[in-house]
Parts: sequence; C-alpha cells; structure tokens
Amino acid sequence: MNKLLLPIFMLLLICSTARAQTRQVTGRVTDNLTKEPIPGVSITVKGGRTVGSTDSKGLYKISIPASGTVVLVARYVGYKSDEVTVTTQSEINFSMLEDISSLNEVQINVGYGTVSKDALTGSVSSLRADQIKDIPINSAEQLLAGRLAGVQVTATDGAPGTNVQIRVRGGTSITQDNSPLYIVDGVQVENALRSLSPQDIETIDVLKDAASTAIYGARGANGVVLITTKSGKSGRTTVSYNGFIGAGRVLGKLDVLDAVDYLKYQYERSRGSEVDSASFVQNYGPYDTLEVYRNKGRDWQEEVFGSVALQQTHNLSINGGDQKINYNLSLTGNGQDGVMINSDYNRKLLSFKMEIKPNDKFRTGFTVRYNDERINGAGVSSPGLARDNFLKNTLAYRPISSKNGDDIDFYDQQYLAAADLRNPVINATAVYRKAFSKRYNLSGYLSYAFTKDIVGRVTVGYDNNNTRTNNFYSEITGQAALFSGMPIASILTGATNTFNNSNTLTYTKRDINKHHDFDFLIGQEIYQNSSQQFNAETRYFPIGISPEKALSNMNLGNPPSGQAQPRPTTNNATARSFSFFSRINYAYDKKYLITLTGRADGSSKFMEGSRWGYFPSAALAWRLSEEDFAQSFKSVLSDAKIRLSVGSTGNNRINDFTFLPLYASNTYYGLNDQLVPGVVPTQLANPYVKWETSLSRNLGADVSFFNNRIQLTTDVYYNTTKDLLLQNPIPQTSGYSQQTQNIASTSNRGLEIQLSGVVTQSKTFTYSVNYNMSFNRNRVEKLNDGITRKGYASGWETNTGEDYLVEVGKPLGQMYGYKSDGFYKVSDFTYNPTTRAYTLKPEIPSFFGVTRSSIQPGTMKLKDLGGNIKNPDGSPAIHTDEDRTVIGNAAPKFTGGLNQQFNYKNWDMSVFVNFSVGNDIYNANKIELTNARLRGPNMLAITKGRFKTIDDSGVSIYNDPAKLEAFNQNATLWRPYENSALFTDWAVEDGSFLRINNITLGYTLPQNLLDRIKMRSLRFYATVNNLATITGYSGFDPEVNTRTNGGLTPGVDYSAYPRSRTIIFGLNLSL
Amino acid sequence: MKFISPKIYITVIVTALSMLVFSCKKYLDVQPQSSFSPEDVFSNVSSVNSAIMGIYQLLAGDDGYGQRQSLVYPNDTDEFTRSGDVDAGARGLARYVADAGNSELAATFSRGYNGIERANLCLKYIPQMDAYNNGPEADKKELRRMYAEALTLRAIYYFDLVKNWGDVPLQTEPSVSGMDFNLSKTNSEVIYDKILADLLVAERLLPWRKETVADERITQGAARGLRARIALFRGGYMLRRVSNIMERQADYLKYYAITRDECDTIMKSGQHSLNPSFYDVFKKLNELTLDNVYGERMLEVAQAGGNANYDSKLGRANGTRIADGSRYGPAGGAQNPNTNYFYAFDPADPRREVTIANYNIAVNNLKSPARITEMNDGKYRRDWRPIIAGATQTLGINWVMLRYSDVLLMYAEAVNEINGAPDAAAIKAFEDVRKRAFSTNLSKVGVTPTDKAGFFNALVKERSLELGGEGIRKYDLIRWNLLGAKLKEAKAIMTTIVSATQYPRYLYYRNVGEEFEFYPGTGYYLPDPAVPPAPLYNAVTNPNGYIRIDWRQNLTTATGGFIEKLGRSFQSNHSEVLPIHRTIIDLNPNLKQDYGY
Repeated sequence: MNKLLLPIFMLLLICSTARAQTRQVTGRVTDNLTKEPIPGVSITVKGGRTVGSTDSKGLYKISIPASGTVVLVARYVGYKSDEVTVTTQSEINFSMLEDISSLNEVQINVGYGTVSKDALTGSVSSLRADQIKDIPINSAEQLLAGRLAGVQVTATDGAPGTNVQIRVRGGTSITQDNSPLYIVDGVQVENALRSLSPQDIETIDVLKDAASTAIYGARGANGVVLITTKSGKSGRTTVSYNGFIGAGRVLGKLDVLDAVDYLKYQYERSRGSEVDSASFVQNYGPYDTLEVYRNKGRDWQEEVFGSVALQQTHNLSINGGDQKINYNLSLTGNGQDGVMINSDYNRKLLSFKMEIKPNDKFRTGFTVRYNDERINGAGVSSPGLARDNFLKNTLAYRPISSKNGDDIDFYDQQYLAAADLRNPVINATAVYRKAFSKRYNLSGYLSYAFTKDIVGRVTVGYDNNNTRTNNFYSEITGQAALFSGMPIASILTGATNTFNNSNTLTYTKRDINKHHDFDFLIGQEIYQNSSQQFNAETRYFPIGISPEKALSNMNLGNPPSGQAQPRPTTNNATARSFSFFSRINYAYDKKYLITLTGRADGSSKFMEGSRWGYFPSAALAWRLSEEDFAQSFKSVLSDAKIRLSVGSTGNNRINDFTFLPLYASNTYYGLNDQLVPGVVPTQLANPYVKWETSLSRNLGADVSFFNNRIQLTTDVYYNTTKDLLLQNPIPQTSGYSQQTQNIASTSNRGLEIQLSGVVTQSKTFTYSVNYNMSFNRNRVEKLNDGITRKGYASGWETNTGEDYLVEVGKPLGQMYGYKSDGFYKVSDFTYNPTTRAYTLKPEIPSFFGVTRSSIQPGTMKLKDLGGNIKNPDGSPAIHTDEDRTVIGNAAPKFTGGLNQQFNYKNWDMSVFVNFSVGNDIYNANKIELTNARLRGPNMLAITKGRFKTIDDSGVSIYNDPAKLEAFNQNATLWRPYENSALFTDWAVEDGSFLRINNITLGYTLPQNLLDRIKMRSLRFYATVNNLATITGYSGFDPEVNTRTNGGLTPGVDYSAYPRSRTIIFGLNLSL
Repeated sequence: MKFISPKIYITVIVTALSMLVFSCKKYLDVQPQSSFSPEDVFSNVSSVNSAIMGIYQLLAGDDGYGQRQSLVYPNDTDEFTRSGDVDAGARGLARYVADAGNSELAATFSRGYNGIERANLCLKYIPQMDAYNNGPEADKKELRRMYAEALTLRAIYYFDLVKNWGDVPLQTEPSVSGMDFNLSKTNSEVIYDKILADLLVAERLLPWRKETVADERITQGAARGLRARIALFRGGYMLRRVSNIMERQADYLKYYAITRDECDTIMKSGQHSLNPSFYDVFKKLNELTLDNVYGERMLEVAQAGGNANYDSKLGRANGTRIADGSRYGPAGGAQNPNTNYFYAFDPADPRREVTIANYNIAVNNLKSPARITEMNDGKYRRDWRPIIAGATQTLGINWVMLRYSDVLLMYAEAVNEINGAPDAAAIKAFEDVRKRAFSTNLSKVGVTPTDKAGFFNALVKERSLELGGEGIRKYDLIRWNLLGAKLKEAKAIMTTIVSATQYPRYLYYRNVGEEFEFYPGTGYYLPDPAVPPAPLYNAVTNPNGYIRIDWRQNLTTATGGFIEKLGRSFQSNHSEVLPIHRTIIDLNPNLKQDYGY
C-alpha cells in the first residue's frame, strides 16, 4: 500500500513554473442582474494555459502575454461564459449572465468518468449539495430518504446511529446482500454513507439501469451509488463553520393501562387461582378500593425515554487553492444523546482532500478520511433475549408498586419470576453496550494526458475499518440467568481492509467531421476485501462486578462445576476480484446517442471455470428536441430526450468458498466436562456455483419546458434476475439440509418520476420544487426446484414460527398468519351448570396444533379457512398448515418525496415531505402487549375493551352464561390470555405515512453588513426535523424495520427505538 | 518527461496489463483461512481427533440425548408418561398421535444423518492417511482407535434411526455434489447387519476402559455392549413395511448368540462391575463425576458447555420439580411415573427412591411430597447436582447410554432364548442385579424362575425396575412386541389402584428442616388412617400441624385424566415406529412414509 501512495505524494512536490514575457491585467466580475461580485470565477486566456480566478470580492489578477491580441474568458458554473478581447487595457471587468439551461451542463458521474446531462443515456438520480445544504442532519444515509426516485431508504428505527437499509429499484437477490455498491471519488468503499459527514458530500449520483451500472459488472446489480466529496475551490482560502445544536423528544407514547386499570385486570386474572386471589388482595387490597391507586402509578415510558435529548454538530472546513493546487480540510464532530436513558452517540470525522494540477497533462489528488464513532447503549431492537429487551420491559413493567413495599425501585425477584420483567430503569444499566468504530480511508489518483485525446488514470483506494463492541450483562439480566445468574462480558472485534485499484485509459474525440462525438474507455480493476474477527466471551463473573471491571479483566470469570467458559472465536476471510471493462459513447450530431459497455469480472468466490462473468449492455438515446421539427416549439419544450437501455449485471455479494468442501471448528464435545473442540463439515460443496445475473431494461424520458425551468424525468424498467443463489433444501439423509445453488429468479418492474421546477424566479423571490415518486413491483419468479413457497421466521418471538412467506409469483415481504375472527362468544358453547364447564359446540371450529390455551368464552378466535384437517373428534379444526394465509405485505405501493425551497431576499425556507403508501406493518408490539400468558405484565390500553369475566364491581360472572354474554356484548377485544403469541391480520396495519420530515427557515446577513464585519457569509437557521407524521399506524412510527432476517422479513415493528422530533438551531459561517 | 513519446507509454501500459492478466489467475486463487479442507483435517492425529469429537457432538444437545432422544422419544410406556395433554410436539409423540407435522421429529432425524455424514468422512479419509499406513506405531494405534470410534458412532446413529423410524435410507459414503441424494428406504435388518459387522471390526480396535484415560470416549466394553444390544433388536420384533405387522426374522436366535457372546466377553474381561450402591451410580452421575471405580456406567454421552447444541437439559427439563427462586434453581416436570410403576417396586427396593423423585422443592427450599400423578423421574435431578443457581437451562449432566447391569440382564435374556431356559450363569447374572439392589435385605431378592417363560417375565419386570427412566423401556417392549399389551396392563393396574384401599387417599406430612415426614401411621403403602390428623396445618393456629395432599384421590379414570391419556392412541403394528417429518419426505420423492402414516 505505502508503495503505491508514495508516487502520489512525490507528485505533490512537482510544480513546474515556466514563465515568459508577460504583463498584468486586473478586473472585477459581477452578476449581471444583482451586480454582486462573483468569487471563484475562472479567468483564462483563450487558447493559452494561463489561468486566474476571482477572490471573494470578485477581483482577479492575471498575467497575459505582453504583446498581441488576447481574449480573456470568464467561466463559472451556472453562468454563461463571457469573452472579452484585450488590447491594451490593464483592467477588464466582466458582467456575467446567469444561465438557467446550464443545469443541463451539470456533469453526471457515471463511473470512471462523467458525462453532461445532455449526453446521458442511462438512468441516474442525482442529489447536489445545494439541494441539501440547508438541512442539518448527521446521517448521510438518512439524507437520501425520499429524495431520489427509485432509491428506497429504510432505517431500522429511531436510535442514534441506527442501521439504514438502502435499496435501488427494489433489490434483486432473495437471500443475499441487496445493498448497492458505493464508490467514493472513484474508489469502492463498503457502506460508505456511514463514514461520511453530510457536510463533506458534493454530489450523490445513483446509477439505476444496467446501461449505467454495467460498467461495474458483477457488483452493479443492486445499483451503484457514486459519491463525490467536496474539493477545494480555486480562489481565496475559505474558512467555513457549520454548526447546530438541537433538542429532541420522542413523538408519541404507546398507550398502556394505568395503575388502576392494570390492577383491575390483574384482579380479574387472579380469579382462576385461590392462591393468586389471596395474594392479590394482600398486595393491593380488595377490588372496590383499587381506585386509591388512581394517579399513583408510574409512567415508565416517560422515565425511560421521556427526556429531552440534546445534540450538537460542529463542522469546520478550510477550503482553498489556486489553479494548480486546491484542498479541502473538513473536521466534523457529532454528539447526540439518545432519548432513551443510558444511550448516546458520538462521532468525529476528519477529511482532507487535495488535488494538484501542475500542468495540463498531469493531474493528481488524494483523500484521507478518518472516522471515529462511538455508540453507547444497548438499543432496544437488537435481537437477543426477549426478556432483556429494553422496550418490552419499559412498556410492560407494572405501573404500580406493591402495597407492602416500595419494591418498584428495586430488582424484584418475585415479580421477575412471575412476569419475566425487569425494572426498565435498572435494566437500562444492567445491559451495557459500547460499540466503537474507527475507520480510515485513503485514496488517490493520478492521471496523465498522453495526447490531447488520450488520458490514462490510476486510482487507488485503501479502507481500514476497525470495530469493537463491548457487552456486559449484569446478574439480573435474562442472559445471565441462563448461566448460573452470574454476569457475562463479551468483546467483539472486527477489522476489515479493502484495497481497490483501477487503471483506465480514455480516448475522447469531439466533432469529428462536425457530426461524430466519440468516447472510448478501457480499464482494469482489482478489488480485495479481507476481514478478521475476534470474539471473546467470559461468563460467570463475580456477582456485583461493574461492566468496566469485567471488561478489563476478562479472565476473571469462574465457571461452576460442570460448566465451561466459551472459547474465543475468530473468523478471517479474504475475497478478491479482478476485472476488465470498456465503454464506448458515440453521438451523431449530438442527437443520436449510443453507449456500449462491457465488463468481465473474475472472483475468488467461484471455482475456476465458472469464475468469470461477462456483463454487456447497450443504451440508445434520441434527443428529439434537437431535431429540426422541434425547433419551432423550443420556447416551450426546451429539451427532450428518450432513452432505451438493456444490459446485464451481476451480484457476487455471496458467501465465500461455497464451492469447496470445508471443515470448521465451530463445535465442542464436553469430555470430562471440558470442551474439546470438534471440526465438522460445514457445507456440501457446490462446484457449479456461478454468478447471479440480472437483466435490466429501461425506457426513460427527460423533458424540460420553458427554458429548462421545469424538468421531468420518467423511467420505466423491468429487471429480471436469474441464477439467484439460494440455500436449496436437499434430502437430509445426505447429512446436509441444504446446499447453495443458483436456483431462484426474481423480477422488479417499476416506474419512477422525478419533477423539478423553478416555479417563480424574480430578483427577490425564488420558489423551486423537487418532487419524486417511485413505484416498484417485486416478484419471485422461481424458487427452489419443485418448491413454490417457503416460510421464513422473523424471529421476534419463537412461537409465531414462520411468519413470512416467499412465494413464486408473489412479491417478497409477504406476511403469513391467521385471520382473526374476534373471540368465541358465550353462545358458541353449551354450559353445564353441574360441572360448571363450557363445552364448545361441535360445529364451531377449534384449534388443532395451533396453541395450547384451552378455548373458553372470550378466547381469541381464528378464521377457519376450510381444508381437510379435522379435529380427532371430527369437528372443524383451525390448523397451522391450513388456516394461515398471506395477510399483508411490507412492500409499499409507492414512495416519494417533495422538497420545496423558497428564497425571499435574505430569507430562505425549505420544506421537505416524504411519503410511503400501501406498505403493511407487522405490529409485533401489539401482539406481545395484549398477551397476558404471564402473571404481571402490563398491557396496551386497548385491552380495556376486552372480554371480561368479572363485572364492574369485581364479581365473577364467568359461571353465569347469560350475564357473561350480556356484559360482554360490546367487547372489542378477546380475553388477553393466550399461551403463545399468534400472528393474525389484527396485528397487520397499514403503514402508509406522510412525514413532514424537515422544515428549515434561514436568514442570511446582507452583504454590506458582512463586509463591515469582514465575513463572506453568515446564515442563521432553525429547523424542525420530523415535525409530524400523518399515518393511521397505531405503533410508535410507521418507518420501522426491526427484524429483517437478511431482508426476507421486512416491516416488523418489535421493540423499535422511538423516533423523536428535533428542533435545531444552527449557523453557517464562512470567512 | 516530455522526451518520452506516447507510444512508449502505451507499450508500457499494454505490457503491464498483460502481466496483470497473467497474474490474475493466481490472484483469484484465495485459500480459506477460518476453515479447513479435508486434506488439512486428515493430515495429523490431533486434528482427526477434532473430527471425531465432531461426530460425538451430535449425540449431545437438545436434539440428541440432551433432551429429545432421552426424554421425548422414549414416552409413553408402562413406566413413565409425558406430563400434560396432547399437543403437536412431545405430548403428541407420547400419546402416539404424532403425525408427520410433529415438531419434535425433524431435527433428530436430520441430526442422525448429519452424524453419519461426519462419520462417513472420517471413515473415508482416515485409512487414506499416511500416518495411518506408514506412521509411527503410536499414531497408527491412535488412528485405528479413531477409525473404530467413527464406525461405532455411525452404528449408534443408524441404530437410533432404525429403532425410532424403522426402515430408513442407508448411506455409507460421504456425500458429494452430483450424487443421487434421493435415497429410498433400506430394510432394518440390512442396516442392523451392516452396523453389527462394523462393530465387530471396531470393538477389536478399541481399548478397554482400564487401558486408556478415563473419559466419555467409547471403549471396547461399550462397543461390545452396544453390539449386544443391537443384536437383540436385530433378533427382536420389527414392524415390517410390506406386511405392516410386527415380525421377527426366522434366524433370530443367531443374533441372540451374538448378544450372549459379547456380554460374556465383557463379563469375563474384568473391566466392568456393578457399583454396590445403586444410589451412588446416579448420585455420582449428577455430581458430574465419572465412574472410574466400577465402570458400571459403560457409555455416557458427554454434555457440557451451557449450549443447546452440546449440553443437556437433563435434570432441568426432568427430575425433581423445583421452584424457580429456590437455591437449586428451577427444574423438573418432563415425565411422570405411572402409579403402577411406583407400586411395582417392592417397598424395600431402594431403586424406587432413585428412579422416582417423589417430592417437590418450593421457593423456600422446603421439600413436600409430590401428588400421585405429579411425581417425576429421578435418575437425573438438579438437587443432586452441585448447586448451580439461576434459570440455567443446561446443567452439564451426562446421559448414561449403557450400564453394566444392562449387560448382565441382556446376557441372561440371550441365554434363556438360546437354551430354552436359563442356565446357572444366566440366573447368576440376573440375581447379581437383584442382589445389588437388595444388598441390605437379601431375603427380598426372591426365587428366580427357572422356566423359559417365567424367567423371561421376570426379566421383563427386572429390566423395568433396574433401567427405568433410562430411555430403554419403550424399545425393549417393541422388540418383544409387548408395548401395546404393557400400556393396557399399566392402565388396568392404575384403574384398580384408584379404588385400592390398601393405599392412602391422602398423604399427611410436615417439614422437619427442609425434609418432610409423614404423619405417624401413614405412608405410601398404608391405608388411610382411621383418624386423620387434626387439626391440619394452619399458619396461625397450628404451625406444627400436618399438611394434607392428594394421593390416590388425585388419580382418576376420567377422560383426559392421568390414566386415560397414557399412550392414548397407541395402535399395534403402527405406533411402534415414528412418522418421518413432512419436510423430509417432501424433499425426497423416493422416500415414502409407510407404516400407515
């Protein structure tokens, strides 16, 4: 690595300064309309090499040849370039005109190069810094939510530093990784958005169709996110400070029973057992006195996540340079308290980018980034023991202390045994987790123009990511209870190194015979990813030890007899790929455009012979606005282009070495109570494993109206992916239950619309709108041989089993469960007054193989969907195999966002709204919090409308069928007693929402005032993030995805960290 | 740098690129780091040892003998019943209503073949090793021992599959991609013959227990004992796929001879003997101590590590019922002894107190007598284990797969069948077992029948008294084709006990320290007292009084009651084997369910 960087550093020192006989010209550049100075305008001598640029006051100075006629050219992005012929003057002033159509000249990064928007043939969504500069946000990932057509962003929940899943056009794979490829400044960086500060991003271009992504071949099937970071700008050195402070508070609470209602239910529940009844009265008093607890309960949600969480971000950047050298140094610090007690987030980022252009032939640059992140707190959604689950303990812990003791503040062993719940405030400190991540990223490039047309470029990137997670479970946690009730500590470390090198050669020829434009790219690339993991866990620490002490003394745990310490585990892996690629762009008369791309990828993940994959693509575009017939209405239709592309891409984000027979040391045999390691075969090798291949077809149109004031881009696409790798079940008598095979196929079809426009533009008021929406329909085309459906478990609760169904012909994300049918009515039974037993009438369906709870009046009822399975006595049965069906789907019908920006004099305002329509949410919290199989947990307030077995004065009416029926005539919910959690359509809710994501109001100080205080600009602003969400969803927040199981079980809301509303004040200052 | 022409640049780059192409094949050949190729594993003795441990491991854990094979599959019999009523899992199996969707079936079946695959790999690669053929003697010997262990373990996995599912597919080579995995069933006797032949090879390569380090690895005695047991099954009744009838092969006596000879070799080896104390056998087991002295516990499945994959729930899922919060930690409840079994023990037989845990332990650590239908099996119990607090699920207690007393009784049985009557040696072996039980009261040993039928019946009873709760009874009854009859008999006996006034309707006890004592003049074998103790316990008025609990009162013949539900849906010539789980049948078109499932 160092060997490769050395020449780049050497080049920094090279700086040729040839000079001839010259004279000086000075001047000022201003905006034609506003007459304000424009800094950073490049001034060149036409046909020559000399370059200058304007400073913050719009002034420039340039050396020109002493003799002859010289033409000076002023160029600036967003303005029409201006030329002035110099004769003998020594002062030349420019007055530049804004160029609205210049938006089309924006260069789009298409991978290994850029093209102007005019010449683009593929489907690309872009986000520019100016669209997001107003928004104070700490996560580059969440920045993308709702802003780009075809890019779906789903955060796990509202925790600081939460995981964010990004899908481009729905994702192609079923069980493999669907994340897009991230390229930062030409270098592949895994999960790049997480290690970038939003303030450092210049542009994000998302390549969506194969015509664009095929240049990335095997890695492009899930889309490519190209990120360009901010470079230094020529001109005076600018020091900028962007900072904000904010305060967040959870938006809503889940309504749970208050102290009195809770006790009333516990009273009712205790009627079945004399012991329970007696102890209830002993603890809380008789039923008619329960009202004394009114307003005496505890609101755990308030105590655990009711606090105001502060956050602050500071970003300092120094940016500057001249025509030869420029740099950008940026330092960012984020600090964020969690709204939940004992959780916070802290991140420090450093980024330094430098580019050197000693002459017209050489160009070089490098970037150094460092990222130091710390997440404190166990979170709430991380899978693990349900009994340690933070949110569950918060919502369900009894809202009242017992009558004879103030045990509520303490760890109550008896209540724990009955309800399996821990005081959430105490639990918050009982589970300790600190996750650290230190990442550095180095990249550099070197390009050399061999001739005017041929440019060679070498790009090198190295990324090192070190993570460490410290976990500690104190003796009161459920985790520790499994191991003799003694504390447990674990340290998980990981290091990932990636090395990426690409070498390209481009040949560009314009206006050949005035008709032909020609670009040719050829390149080669290697990519290597190696990772090392080391995990150590020690159990049986002395009771009472502090987390820090345990984690600092990992040898201290001492197992009781017959128990053993787990051994440390390691997992090291390396994967490499080697590629060749080429791209040809050809344009005839700039009207007819064609792009041909081809890439060949070799990967170490496949056996020799099936190692190479070939990924071609072709794209055609027709700029019909350039045709003669279009000229007559050019004033209305300023630009129009139709694009068509077909291409193939691959996916190699799969497990390593599926083609080799392998043994792993991942088990033990307890000889003499000592764990002796065992090595065991881990897989049935499949020597035939090959690439997953996607074929993507895209038809798009880019249309602009009224001199480009309104721009509309629409795309329709149809992508099919075949040879998807799946664990295909094979007969278990082989000794294996599955084998990785290229077996499945999926398709995604969709429509994307992106509309942007400047509604009003005047000297004092500008109003612009950016709107996008995307429709995607995913379909599983083929599963394993002979299998048309397969269940998957989200795993939030073991008893619900496989609650998602992957089915041929249907989209991924189908929720699979029973249909709720209210509850059993008293009239469904015959009552025997002698035995006091309710017997279900034979024609009424009952459970068979579903649940163990016995059926009584008020028991939750499921719909019998027919089928052959009957109860042993012949009565209709509700059976797991026959009476479950698809009851929801997590995939939205469409999603989108609307961003509106206003400028009035020195005021600016933006309002960003995003939405999702038609997605279902699996509200698992609702199932859990209406299930009283244990004695003691609190429940949701909706259980107030339950089927009751006591009347209003606490008298049991269970054995009086007539009274029971009459009393429960208006009951809205079953008796909340089930042995196991059942997933029914009652827990599936429409998760459509419209979120007012962000409102910002800013004020920029006027220029004359700034001049006085020697500042370039100063803006103050206030923002509300997540102001409000319009939704019918009854849980905390409809944007939730807590149990993904590799993407197969989306949309589960179980124990999600509640999202908060944040109010932020900040300033942007530049000197 | 201007003097270099572009052509030279291009040449340099083209050369560099072609070198890259040349080196890319090498570049893309990446070797796994955290896993091994079979060549790595079978290159030295110590990593082969790890591969052997990998085969052993599947015996342990929830799906092996940590729970499913020890506590779930062996129910119901005339000894024990699974608690609770029918469900789609363990209780469904126990009531013989299991269908192919039963949740307990899939994992253990697959696990068996997983173990067979691990063994097949070892059996293929060990003989190919250089050290096996040309290595130092010590290595050769050790590798032969491991080869024999792989053979024995494969035999155990096949035996477990056949005794639970009848005819199953037979695969004796490692799986390779491209092979036809859609195997159909092989007849049980073919599989039995294969593993009997394998064990014959294995036993000679294995050391006797005194010749090696004491641990849970298979020794020669264990392999011979297993061979003796498997021969009894080969010579016993099997449910035939074609006739759907329990049948035994005509040449069955040949196999009894194998049993007799193997047992004889073990008995004469001087390697194994009975522990004079029956209690001590299991007390030590629960104390996690190996049986180094007597070698009575001839083969154990080692379990440790606090993990559902290689530790056991023995003593946690079953054994004494202990309340959560007591100092022992929660335990118990999986299987309840039948009343007939409780009373089958002579009042003086100390094996009852070991085999049946007839007390519960409350949160405050006080013991109380368990009700008649709520006693538990007792050979594995948490309160005998060194205390391990908390809700710990896995207690590290080994499963005893073979005991020397079983060898003695198998010997006696084999001789009786072959000779048509017991000889002196058979009677001695039988009486050795009884004498150990009644060592303090030899008069209770009784007279041993000398006719074939009488001796056989005595053996049927003795095996139950001696080996109860060790997962053996159900399979013994099947090979004798007595399971249905014995379940019926158990119900009939229990029905008579409901109204048997020689036994008490209630028990009256009080705590003395943490232990309890009965009211004088009452007990399990005494009728209700003429005058019950009065007043009974009352925390306020009579803290020293006696507490009454239901005994016979708790036993009912009602539908769904303890008696009625015992093995409820057992059907002869059907229920002797389990259905194969649907997910397994569905994947293999050649694998049929058979046996009326």
